[in-house]
Amino acid sequence: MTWRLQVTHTTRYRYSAPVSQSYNEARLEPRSDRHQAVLASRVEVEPSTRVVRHVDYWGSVVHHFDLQVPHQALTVIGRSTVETATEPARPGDASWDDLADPQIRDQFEELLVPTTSVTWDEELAAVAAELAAAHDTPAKAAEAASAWVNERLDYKRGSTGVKTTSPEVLAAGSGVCQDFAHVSLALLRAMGIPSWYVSGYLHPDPKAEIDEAIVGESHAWVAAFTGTVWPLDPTSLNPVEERHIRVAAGRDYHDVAPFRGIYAGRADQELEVSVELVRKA
Amino acid sequence: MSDLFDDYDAGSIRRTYDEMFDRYGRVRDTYRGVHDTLEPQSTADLAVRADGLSRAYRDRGVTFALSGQERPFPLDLVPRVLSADEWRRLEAGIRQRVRALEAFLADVYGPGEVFADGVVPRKLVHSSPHFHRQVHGLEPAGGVRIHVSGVDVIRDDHGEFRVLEDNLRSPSGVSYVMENRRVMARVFPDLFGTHAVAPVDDYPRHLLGALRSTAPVRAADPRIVVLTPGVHNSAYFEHALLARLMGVDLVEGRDLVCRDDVAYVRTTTGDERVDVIYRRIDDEFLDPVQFRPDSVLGCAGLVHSARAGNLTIANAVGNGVADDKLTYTYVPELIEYYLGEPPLLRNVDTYRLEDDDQRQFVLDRIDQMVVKPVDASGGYGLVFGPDASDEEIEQCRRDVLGDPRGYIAQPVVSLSTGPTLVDGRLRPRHLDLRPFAVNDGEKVWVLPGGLTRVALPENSLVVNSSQGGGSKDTWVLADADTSFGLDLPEPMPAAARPAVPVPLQFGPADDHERHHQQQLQQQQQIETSTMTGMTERTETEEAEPC
Amino acid sequence: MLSRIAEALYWMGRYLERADDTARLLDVYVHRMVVQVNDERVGASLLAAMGLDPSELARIGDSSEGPIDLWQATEMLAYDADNPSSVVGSLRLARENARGLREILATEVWEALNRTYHELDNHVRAARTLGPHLLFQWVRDRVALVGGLTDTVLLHDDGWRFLTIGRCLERVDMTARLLGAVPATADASRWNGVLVSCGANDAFLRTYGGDIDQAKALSVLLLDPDFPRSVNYALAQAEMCLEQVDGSTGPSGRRQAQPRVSAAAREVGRIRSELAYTDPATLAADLNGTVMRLQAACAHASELVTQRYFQRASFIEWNVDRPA
Repeated sequence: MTWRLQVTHTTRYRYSAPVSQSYNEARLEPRSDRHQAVLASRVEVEPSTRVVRHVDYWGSVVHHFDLQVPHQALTVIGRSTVETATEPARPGDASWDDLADPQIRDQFEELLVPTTSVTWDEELAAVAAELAAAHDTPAKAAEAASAWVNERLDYKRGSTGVKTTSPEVLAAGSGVCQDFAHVSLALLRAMGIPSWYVSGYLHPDPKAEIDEAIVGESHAWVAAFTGTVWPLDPTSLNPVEERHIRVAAGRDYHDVAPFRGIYAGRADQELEVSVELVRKA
Repeated sequence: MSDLFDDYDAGSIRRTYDEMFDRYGRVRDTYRGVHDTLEPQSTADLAVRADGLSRAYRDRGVTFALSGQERPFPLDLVPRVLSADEWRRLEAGIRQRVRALEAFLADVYGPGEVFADGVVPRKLVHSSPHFHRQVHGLEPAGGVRIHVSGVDVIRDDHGEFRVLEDNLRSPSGVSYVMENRRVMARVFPDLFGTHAVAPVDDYPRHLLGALRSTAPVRAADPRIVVLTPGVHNSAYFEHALLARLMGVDLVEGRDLVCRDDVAYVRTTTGDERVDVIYRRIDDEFLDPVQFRPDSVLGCAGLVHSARAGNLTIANAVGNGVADDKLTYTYVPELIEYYLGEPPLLRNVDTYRLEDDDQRQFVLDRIDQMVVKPVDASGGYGLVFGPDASDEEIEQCRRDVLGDPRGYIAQPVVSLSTGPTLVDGRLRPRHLDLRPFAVNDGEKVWVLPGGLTRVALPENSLVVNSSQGGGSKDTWVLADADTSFGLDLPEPMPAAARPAVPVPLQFGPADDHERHHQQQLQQQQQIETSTMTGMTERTETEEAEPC
Repeated sequence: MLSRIAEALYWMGRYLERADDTARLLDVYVHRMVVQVNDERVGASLLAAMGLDPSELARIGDSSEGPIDLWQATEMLAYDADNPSSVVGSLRLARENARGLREILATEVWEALNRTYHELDNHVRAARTLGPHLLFQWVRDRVALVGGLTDTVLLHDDGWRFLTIGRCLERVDMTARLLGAVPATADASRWNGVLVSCGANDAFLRTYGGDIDQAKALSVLLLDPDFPRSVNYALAQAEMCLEQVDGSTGPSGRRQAQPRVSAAAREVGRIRSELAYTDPATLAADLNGTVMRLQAACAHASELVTQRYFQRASFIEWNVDRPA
């Protein structure tokens, strides 16, 4: 079933002292693909400045801008209206042999190797080997990996940070959606399944009323190549359908961070993020 | 007859190629003139000239910084000579290489056809620390990425030139080429009298031309700057020299600011727009927005300005992926793939250690190999098998097994030797050559000659200045087919010649004629007055006007 | 003209002048006033004039207690490479600034200054055994050479003007400091020493003959319109350069109801007028006040020049925004 979702993602920085210059990149605009259609999207910045848009290596839309006037607050708002689940996602029918093909492995080389956040130690490698051995297709193994992560980790805020690696998450036994995704990616890649970190939004209510504004948040899940590119949500185990909006995909969180930048000065900063989701149809 | 060449071992025993002498000890044709000029000189003569060389360098500040110390770059007295024919072949090979690598970079940061066609594995590029996804899809304003390159070549035992490595980021050393020639011409004018040597002072003009022609189209008269890390950088002298000879500003990162994807330079009269930055700063420090945020050398926003087409960064960001020592092993294939030509210059045989078979082959005879880290320059981290201790070999073996992508290995290639002044005698010392190429988008121009580096310690094969290397002035000789633009003007017809030159004017005190007269008279007066007291007065009276 | 370049030229000018003036000053103290060598106040007053605290002696490894003699003062003011107001320290800093200017400076200027720097150690060594006079003489010669070259082979554009502004302000400041160290009781021989150390001896003789007193000496040092090392002359030259540098500015090109001079030019003009329109007797009577006002004006003018032209990109410390 297709939903129409409107999302407003507000990032607000407050600085303890005036900041004289800042340079920033925002990855807030979803892109249309087979599974979603972006009807409208824009990015607003306060203090106002010229915002330039380009598409990065991973195919994500980037808005970049700089501020040259002293300012003590910076607000970036991304507003998008997206039609979701335009076509249901299907696991492909690739075999283990297909994925072991040197040409396939070369094509997805970046999505098979560890990154600073997505790494696997002996324990994760052993789990991956078990999962792979227990399933006759990569798609089933991927689903099992997602379930394994969901089972092993508790959802808990504050136990991890943006730089926590997969083995560290596993040791902590808990984390947020980003950590669920990073551990899943470690298992998938260790099994030889090319996989992406996907960032976006999840509407929390499956029975959402039309025009009811819900306080939501950013969400992260993974996508695996098992013949087709197939999204999996290890945090909720829900199928990725009408309630998910995909914004960006990459090797790990650092390729898709919604907002990054640098500013000049010795000020401390305070960050406030809010996401509002409204089902429009 | 002097003893300069006494006991000179021209490689007959070691089987290496000597630049001046052939295997039978005969002087090669290209070196005939140099040899004949040098031979009659005494050790003392040469010592005086050598002293002149190093003093000239210190006074001009032609130094490189080694561990924080400013040292003059040692310049050897004996030039390295290439015949016109040798040079033509080398030049063509370098041009070809630069064109192929330029196409490779455009492909890597664009459509990636080279991967789709299976010519190189994606892993080659993705695993390179110099592959910067931040500039993927960025079309350089002038269409050029390798504005300046330095292709290091050596001569193997058969005298054939082989490429040792490519330098496509910010190759340095061209200032030494120009300075070496200046100083040599001053200290050794007699050598130049007998040779037609290709000039090297054209380089800044060609570089400026390339920077201009690759500027963003907007700029009719583009503002060009040279970006240096600062006075403490080891190549600062070169940055300053190039800026001065091109007549452009030498800036540091703090002189620049980017606003709305446009770069400006701060001046005493406000900010002024910049179109082209010839940068001598590594990618990692260039733009804190994209790379190291703790960089104080670069300027925030440069990459986005380039992406917007408002700025040309020369050389382009991300070139390191093409001069990676592992990519090097694919260059012959890349030349075939992009240009459809056979490579004109061969690589040195090289083993990729990430390949299991090749690695095993190398590890089995590691004591005969040179193992090089893929990501290092200046000779750092290089393990020279025949000289390495057992511990070093073991360490090297562990390093290779731990990170096979991180190393390549080459059989020991003995660099050619050339006579070099050591302790008052000429001795064979190993040499390489770094020619410099400038690409303006239309044509790749190669500076005739280049930087010859010489390993001063006996038998050393490491020529880097940071490891005890020196340099030689490098000559490309003219033949019937080359003129180097040195055509002399036609003699002026007599009629067009200016008439009698206007004589110099002199003030009263400088009026030589009168001065002389006065002096004479004064002397006469003294002489005469000593004889008779009367003459003096009459003469003075006569001299008195009416 | 790049702000950073302008600033480096300005300081190159200042440090060259400082090296020259300090060398002249010390030369006179050490060689002309030999009688006073044992006067323990001389060393202290020298240091005070240069704005140095005697406690800094400890830094150069001199831990002796008690009054500072001339030799200790010379150690600090001539040889101490870490002291930016010593002869050696100033030359080192002048060359350090010039290093960043290589593509701006004419080759000859850079080579002259660079060679000076490289030969400095030898001359210091010689001076320690043969007496400092050789060093002072050599420094004066070298600075004169560099100064002559900057005037003859350098383009007289804004860069040269900033260099000249630096030299002139430093000259005024140093002359003021020197005058501040002259005791009120100074006799003719002491004033003669002051004149020599300012290179004003011959100018004085040609103007007044051999009859030296404070009023005449001050008129040459402060007011002489034709003597290039006089305060008045230096201020006038700085003022002229500041006005010329200023000429091309005006952000909008709109008419403005005020003179087209910068705050720095006004400050220099103000102090020059103050000198010119004050009764010389008053200047002499309150020599201390005059000296203080001159130094304050130089410091202020220097700050104004810095603010106006050397927009320093305060070293930017980038902070990384923590991702959400």
